[in-house]
Amino acid sequence: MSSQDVDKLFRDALDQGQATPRLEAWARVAEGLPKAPVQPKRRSLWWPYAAAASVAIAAVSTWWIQAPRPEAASSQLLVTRNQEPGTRNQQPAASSQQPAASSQRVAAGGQQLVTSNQKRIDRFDLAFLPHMEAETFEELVPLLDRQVVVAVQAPSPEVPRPRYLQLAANVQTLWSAVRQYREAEVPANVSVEVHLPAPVLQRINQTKMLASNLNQSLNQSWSTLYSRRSR
Amino acid sequence: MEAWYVHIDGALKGRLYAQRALYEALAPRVLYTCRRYFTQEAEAEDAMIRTMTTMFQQLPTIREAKALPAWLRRTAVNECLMELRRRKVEWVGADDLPDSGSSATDSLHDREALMELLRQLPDGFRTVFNLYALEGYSHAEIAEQLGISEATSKSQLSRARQWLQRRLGNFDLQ
Repeated sequence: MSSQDVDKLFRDALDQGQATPRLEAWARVAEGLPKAPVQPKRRSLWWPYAAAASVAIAAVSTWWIQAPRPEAASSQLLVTRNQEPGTRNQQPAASSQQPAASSQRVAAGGQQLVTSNQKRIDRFDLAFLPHMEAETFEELVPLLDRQVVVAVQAPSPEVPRPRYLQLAANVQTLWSAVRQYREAEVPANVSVEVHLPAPVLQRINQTKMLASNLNQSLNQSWSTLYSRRSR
Repeated sequence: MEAWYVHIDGALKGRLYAQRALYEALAPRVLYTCRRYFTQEAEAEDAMIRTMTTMFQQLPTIREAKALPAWLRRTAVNECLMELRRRKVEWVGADDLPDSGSSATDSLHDREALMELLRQLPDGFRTVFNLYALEGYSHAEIAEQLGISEATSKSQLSRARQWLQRRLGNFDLQ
């Protein structure tokens, strides 16, 4: 037998064989098994988040710089003056170009809408508001919550000041502003300013209810108001 | 495709039943390889356990299932060599080959008999013969692995062959 034969003999016989391990061997292998599930490492994808954050920051910054200031562009001032019932609907719509400074001196029936720069004055009657449909009003509430400002000007000495402060503080919507204004029975020489965003006023002006309300008598308006409150 | 392939995914996910199935499919081959290098069954079993443990730890880095058996065999041989080195086996100097010992049994095809014959060789001779004849190492590679010269590797191989030939001499090769 040559040396190559010896090699071949053993190679053929012993190259591919199997020997069954003892059962105890598995227990020792199991001890060394990886504890946690073995998973190939993945690169953390941080850059999409970074890119998204950059875009978001840029967008917000651009909007912040370019967005019109509410008080400069979109806010308008609704000036209402308490007055004697019966004169409201008789007031002609003639004061559209009055300066804002004169809004406190408007004659009876002077619910007036002025812009924030107080150059343009439009007639506006708050009396329609109790008649607006609830749905219509609810559409406006989110805007009102953000931007309504109620200011009490020239309070009468007869009315306790805390009441005016409370009035201003409690007004969250135009509806409540008007209602509390009515309930407060503010004397005639006190005016209340309600600052509203322009879209709200546009929506109000577009409401058909406005025209119909303006045509209604003042007594009807008040009776409707009180009937709703009593419900 | 062999049946054990299907357990690789489960083993990668840490499922014990899949790891067990993979072990049961592959460990016998590893143990068989290790037995060729040691006379004691416990030593072969230790080498097998270390090899399988290494395999489970390295499994995520093994890209192809097809390559796993060859990888296992390489790793098993390395584990055996590491253990033999740790025991400071005399690769050379074992001049006295055993005179006695069982000869190959009735049939040369009795693989277990050939295994026993191989395991009767002293560690140094057996290791060189294993690496050359069964693993296909060159003398240069054996010399590098065992830290001996190529000439020593050749002489060890030659003497191991002669010893095996003497034991096999009385039997006809079929």
